[in-house]
Amino acid sequence: MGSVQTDQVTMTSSTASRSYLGSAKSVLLLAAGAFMLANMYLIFMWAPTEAVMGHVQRIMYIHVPMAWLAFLAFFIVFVGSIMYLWKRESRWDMLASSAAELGVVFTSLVLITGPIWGKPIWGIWWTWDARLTTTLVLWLIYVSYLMLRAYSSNRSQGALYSAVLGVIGFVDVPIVYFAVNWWRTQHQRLVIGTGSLEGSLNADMRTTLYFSLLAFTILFSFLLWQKISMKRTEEDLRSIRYSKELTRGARIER
Amino acid sequence: MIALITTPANNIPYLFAAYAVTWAIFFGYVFFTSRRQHELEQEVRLLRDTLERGRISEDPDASN
Amino acid sequence: MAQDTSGTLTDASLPRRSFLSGRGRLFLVGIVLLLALAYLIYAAFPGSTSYYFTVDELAAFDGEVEGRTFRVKGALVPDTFVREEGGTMATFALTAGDQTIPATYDGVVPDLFFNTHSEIILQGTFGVSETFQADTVSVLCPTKYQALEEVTT
Repeated sequence: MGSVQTDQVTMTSSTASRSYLGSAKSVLLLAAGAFMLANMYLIFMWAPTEAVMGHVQRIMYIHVPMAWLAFLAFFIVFVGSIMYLWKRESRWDMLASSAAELGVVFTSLVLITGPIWGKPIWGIWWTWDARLTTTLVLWLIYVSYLMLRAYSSNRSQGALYSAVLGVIGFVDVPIVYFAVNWWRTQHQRLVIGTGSLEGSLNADMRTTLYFSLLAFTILFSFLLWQKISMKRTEEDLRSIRYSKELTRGARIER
Repeated sequence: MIALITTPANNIPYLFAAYAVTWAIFFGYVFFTSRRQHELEQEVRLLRDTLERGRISEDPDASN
Repeated sequence: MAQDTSGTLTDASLPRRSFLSGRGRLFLVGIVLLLALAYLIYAAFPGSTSYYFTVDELAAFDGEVEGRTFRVKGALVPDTFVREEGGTMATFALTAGDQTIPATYDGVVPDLFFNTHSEIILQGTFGVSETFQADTVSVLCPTKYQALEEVTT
């Protein structure tokens, strides 16, 4: 870290500490990769084949953890939005909007892997039951959250409106989760966690599912970190570009 | 219990498709995010250099 | 975590992509949100979202049946499935224990249709006879996930 002592520009010290964080981030990415490889081994080599559905049931090991992480992402949006509305600090907005983007990615994947599993087992790609419809609504809510930000002409206004949506939109998360218990659905009821039937998931399958959740959580943490640091860099750039010092001192070539 | 053994074996392509799509999207997402991050860091470096040069020379047009 | 610049979200930011006018965009987002919320409110009423009837419930149904689309859930009555010679039209019966409903379906049934543990959902209407004419046939997931070795040994 020899470069730090000679630097006079105020940006640099934070940039140097970030390069430390940058290597920590690389470690996290490596961990995510290693856990995912082990996860794939468990899913395809170790976990037993399901008796009725056969191999296609192995989709569960990505479908379910991605759904849980989407819920976690939207919970982070919820917390970040409340904190932004309260404190009006842009770091809470960065946290919430980063998590929202990841939540949309994960929900999209849930909505893609679901029908691919549904077609060979149910015989249909899609149906308008409570679980599937509320999940699609969840996706629409957070897509509009991102659209609201992208299309609002005023940044702070976009942050404010999306924070309100980030709080209200979270209402749908428990509805999606409990839909299979509250209503009659095409979708499988809960096999694990609160409200599930005892012994509805084979023990080895459960172990694999939990490991997969761990692996996806590490991946999620990396992605969230990456996204947040990107937003911080973007904001740094914006503030430098419009700082008085810069407009007086030099012209920027891009 | 005999009827349970009529497990459909022809659903492997669906299994493959689900994992292929998932990994393709994750790799794509990580790739584009990393590339954007890299671009941003380069811009920060450029700006810092420009700022430093501007300071040393004390000349508004130095960076040209 | 935050820089000194935190809290200052300036308007003079990066140039915006143009897609509809500012109000048009917000209007679009508003429509999507309204639709989403409308559905949530609709879904909050338990009576309105009875996804299917059981065979027994449908047999006991005393409302207007003609022209109405139903979903009915039941198990296949063993040995009732008959496909017409050289055709695609199949007839079979569903049961939920007490009652049985005869049904027809023109098309390919899902793989798990004949599994003795499968629960089947038909979507369709009653024709002129008492036969249920299914447009869509689907199979529910098993409620228990078991290993193949568990059940074969």
